[in-house]
Amino acid sequence: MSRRNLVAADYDLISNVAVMSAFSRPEVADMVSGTAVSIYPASQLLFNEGEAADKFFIVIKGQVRLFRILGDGRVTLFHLVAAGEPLAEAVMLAGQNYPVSAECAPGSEVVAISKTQFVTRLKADRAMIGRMMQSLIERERFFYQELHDLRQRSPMQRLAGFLLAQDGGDKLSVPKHVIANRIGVTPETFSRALRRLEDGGFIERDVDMTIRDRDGLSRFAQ
Amino acid sequence: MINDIERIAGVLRFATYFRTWPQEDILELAGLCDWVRLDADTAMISSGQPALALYLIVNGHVELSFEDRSGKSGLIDLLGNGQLVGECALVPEGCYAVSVRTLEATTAIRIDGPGFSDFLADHFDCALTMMSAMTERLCQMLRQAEELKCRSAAQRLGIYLLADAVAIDGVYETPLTIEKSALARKLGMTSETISRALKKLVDVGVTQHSNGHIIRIANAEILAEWCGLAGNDGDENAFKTAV
Repeated sequence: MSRRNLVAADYDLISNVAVMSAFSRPEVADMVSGTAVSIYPASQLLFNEGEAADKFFIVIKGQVRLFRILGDGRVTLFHLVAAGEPLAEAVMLAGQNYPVSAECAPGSEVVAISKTQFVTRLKADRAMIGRMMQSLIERERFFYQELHDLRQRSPMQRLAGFLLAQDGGDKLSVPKHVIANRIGVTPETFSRALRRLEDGGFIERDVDMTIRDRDGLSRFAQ
Repeated sequence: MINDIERIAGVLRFATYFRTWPQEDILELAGLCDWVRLDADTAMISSGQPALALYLIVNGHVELSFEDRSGKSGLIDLLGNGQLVGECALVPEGCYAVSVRTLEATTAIRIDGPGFSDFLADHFDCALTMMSAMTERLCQMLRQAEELKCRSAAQRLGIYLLADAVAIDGVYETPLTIEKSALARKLGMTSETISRALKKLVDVGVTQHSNGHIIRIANAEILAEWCGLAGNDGDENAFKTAV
């Protein structure tokens, strides 16, 4: 394992994690001061099930798998944590032991934030607790909207909603695979939805995508 | 004779959110609580209204729905015993983000929001556990969104069945404690889709018994793999279970 110092992109990613999003950039920097990004060239255990949860982690690059080894030796894989996602923050806050083991994939980069650093910062400024709760509730609202869209709106409506939400004017240059991933459809479904919006005169497909009828698209998205 | 506060404390200490709290903190919290008994199909909280209280569901099921900016309302989840709703009441002048309605006669504990918020400001460790519960809830919502994006209806049903499965004599059984129509809404599909999904799952050893109230899974690993839960480390025994 090797280490490197945090760079601006790392701070952006850390600030975007729900549990850190209530903090300003200087506060985040203060909280992670003395912390480096650990680079794992090979698979390596981050922690074992049952150990005291004295830190939480943010995956900067690569993937971390959360698993348990059952009594009969079988491995139960619980979750694959991707880049940009935190792990073990809930158990750390609750003061529990890690309920699973974590192992990072070769090439992964991970930041560990100690409970002591985190809690000391919160204790020093009690108003931060309120801000953190506010921030978590705002995240919750975001996910309610996301789940609502996924359950209630067709892929075409979700695509229309995505296109309208981009604030770069009527020309859209977001790669198509990114849009398909964001609205949660397969590339085939995405192509069909795009064709139908074009057939309806709402958009035009050229090198970028151009919105031709913003009002119509807006009505359609609802 | 046990008074109401002790009865409420007795329930709170077994709830996931509060089980690590010291007894005196639970008793203090119980002093901020009341019992609430609601008939079926009754509003517990309403979206957009001032958030004045949280509710811990003690017995029953509730439906959680979200209304988007255009006024279109849709079900997000079904919640049952031991789950908490209305965390918005923990922030000053918060409004409820969702509506919660009972599916059946439901007993809940109402926790006064401003009082609870003041209590958390004075009890740092308790505030940390509440943030932990809220963070865990966000993780669950993220997983739900991932499943809706990445898995078919039959796979989502398979994962739901695996999550509640109990090993009995070498096979796994999942009791269906809610109506199929309610299950369909919980999983974001129609009753017809649930029926089609159950038919598809027969091919991977999932069968219905006791008039559909018990679902038997012949081989949980095969079902997990079919649902796309296999690990990526080449270990044939590895399978991912729904959390």
